[in-house]
Amino acid sequence: MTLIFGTKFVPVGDMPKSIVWFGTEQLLTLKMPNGEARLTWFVIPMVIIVVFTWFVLNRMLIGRTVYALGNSREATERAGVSVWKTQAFIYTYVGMLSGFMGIVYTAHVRSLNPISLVGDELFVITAVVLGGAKLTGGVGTVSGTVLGVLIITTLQTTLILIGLSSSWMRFFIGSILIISVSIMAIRANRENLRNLIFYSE
Amino acid sequence: MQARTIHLSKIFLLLSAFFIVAALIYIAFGTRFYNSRNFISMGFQIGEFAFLCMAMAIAMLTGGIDLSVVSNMNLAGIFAAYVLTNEALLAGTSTVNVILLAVAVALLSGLIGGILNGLIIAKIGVHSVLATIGTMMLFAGFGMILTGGRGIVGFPDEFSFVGNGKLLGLPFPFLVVLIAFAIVGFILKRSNWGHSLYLFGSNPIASRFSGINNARTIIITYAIGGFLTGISALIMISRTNSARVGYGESYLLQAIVVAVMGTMDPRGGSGKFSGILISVILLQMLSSAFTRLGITPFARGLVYGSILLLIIIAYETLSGRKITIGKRA
Repeated sequence: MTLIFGTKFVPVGDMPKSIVWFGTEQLLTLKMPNGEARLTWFVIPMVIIVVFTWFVLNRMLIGRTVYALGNSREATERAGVSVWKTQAFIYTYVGMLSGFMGIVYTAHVRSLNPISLVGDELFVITAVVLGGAKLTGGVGTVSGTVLGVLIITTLQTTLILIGLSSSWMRFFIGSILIISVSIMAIRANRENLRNLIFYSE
Repeated sequence: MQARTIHLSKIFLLLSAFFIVAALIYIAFGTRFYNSRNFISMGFQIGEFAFLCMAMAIAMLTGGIDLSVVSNMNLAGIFAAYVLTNEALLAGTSTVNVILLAVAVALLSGLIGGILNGLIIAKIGVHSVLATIGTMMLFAGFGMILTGGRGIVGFPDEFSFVGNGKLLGLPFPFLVVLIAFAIVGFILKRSNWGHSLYLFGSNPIASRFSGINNARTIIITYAIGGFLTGISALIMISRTNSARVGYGESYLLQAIVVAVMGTMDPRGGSGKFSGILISVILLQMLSSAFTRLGITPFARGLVYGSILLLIIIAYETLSGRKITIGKRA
């Protein structure tokens, strides 16, 4: 069950980058003291997908099954759910989101090669984990993920604005990831000790 | 004819895959592939990669994964490169001493990186994927801050022996790989740590209640992984004669492929260490064959991915079964 949530929001995760950067056309232009801030039209598919994913996960049977599967595969199977079908749905949905992402990314960068985004998975996992999803499954929300993505993107852009070179970026993101997951782990450990659970993945 | 039952273990499946690939390569290339010169050049290329695979494999035995191997390797390489290019050191003492110091620095840096991984995973209790993604970015970022992304070049000539030298007619890196395999395999089988590692991997709660110090086992495991990474850093910077952030990033996924192919169970607790050696050689043979065929790196990724999927499917569906050959009883 590992990684169901880890991979779940990959494409949504990468999209807000496109909002922050210029697009070819903009939905809205704000006059700022130091130049213009633009909002590209990429925000529309992003919002639609976020809302739709939220709806699927929270208001539809299949979405609730996804959470159940992440919590306990055994219990889900006993409850009469076809695990195979749920997993097929999850990864199909993820594939579909990746497809959207591919379109937006292509529109944004306007050039592609097979390895242009390889390595960004790690930023995606970082964002999803910062957003509160658990690698072991069963926990995580769409809104949390959006927040996690915003943190990472804000960090990426502001570190450059502050004047730190991009070489510091990985260092900072790495430290933030380690510190935040450590805090979460310590809290979980305390909880487990109280409930006499001695080892949890 | 007497009926024979064959137990389909993972190592048996791996060996069959190995011989099938070897036979296919023989059919395709004949003695153009199977000659001593080609094998010696493969022995050189295997060096750094085999160590990364070993580090990945022992991390997988705990049921974890070590995603920071490559950036740990690069960081250790950068430290060693700074020692090797230090003018004051080179002027002050003999070249051999400087090289020994560089070796010590690289091993120590790898070891510290490994211990850091182990501490975060065992003492704080972070999931190994997250912990090692974090340290991976941390090591890469640290190396980036140190070097600014530039390569460090200009090592003493004597240092090239580590990656390019020959001893008794065999490539020196290959000998180091064989020795390391023997040592790590031996301590996995015979030492206290090895036994508690396997027990921890298959059932952490049971190992805790048998009085094993789980945290210590994990820390030692990742420390050994880091140490092996340090060795691989030395071979790598010697072979490329430079050190830079971002070398060998494709090794990370390949190391996972090798570890899973080499009979390690990603859920932990089972796996034969000799399988790693077989699958490293298998992957190296494939990669040499691809180079001869002139296949692009993208297509290579496709082939590695398909191989990994095929082998995992074979392991999941076939291993543990028995087949009967000949007359049925």
